Amino acid sequence: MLAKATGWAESFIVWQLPLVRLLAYEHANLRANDVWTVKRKPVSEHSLAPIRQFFDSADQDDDD
Amino acid sequence: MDAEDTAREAAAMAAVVEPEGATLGENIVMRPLTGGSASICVLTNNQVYRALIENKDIDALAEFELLAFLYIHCAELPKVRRMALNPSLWTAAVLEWGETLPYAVLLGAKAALEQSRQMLAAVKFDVEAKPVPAGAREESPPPNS
Repeated sequence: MLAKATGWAESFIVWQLPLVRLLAYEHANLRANDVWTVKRKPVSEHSLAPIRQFFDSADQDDDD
Repeated sequence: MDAEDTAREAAAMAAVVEPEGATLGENIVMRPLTGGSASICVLTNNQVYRALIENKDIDALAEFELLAFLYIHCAELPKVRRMALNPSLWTAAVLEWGETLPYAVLLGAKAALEQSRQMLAAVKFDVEAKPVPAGAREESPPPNS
């Protein structure tokens, strides 16, 4: 996607472009295409609780 | 790729700000962490890379992990790529490269990595559904064609 937007060689993007710049350019490219982005937040315990509950309630498989 | 594509790519590349490596010591330049070097780190299960991505402290990690990370980013890239695909040679290649490495380089690398960790944490983002302003009508999906 970035190669298409910038015209840069893919080998440059993969092997030379710093990951920090790659992420920043990709972010800018997504915003330019009207994609909504937010700053990454740590996963809260509150949102993990139902998932934990689901796995805890599953039957334990004693096959191994 | 035809001549027109090559010319277009050359013009685009001419406008690029060249990435710079960090000089850690005499003849030792650390290339920046890139998508390609990240894939090598994943392939070799490098813990320093994991700590950088997960924004964790690198001080507690084994010295070999730091040495391997430096090998990936300082040694000749074609050799690093070749060795990464050969797990039986990987450890020996890293240790051989690190044999003559001054300890000051390891300390300098830690400072550079700390900076990378903070920068990576600052640029990370997630994609979410766009929030609908209060009172706005929810858009209906397009009709079937």
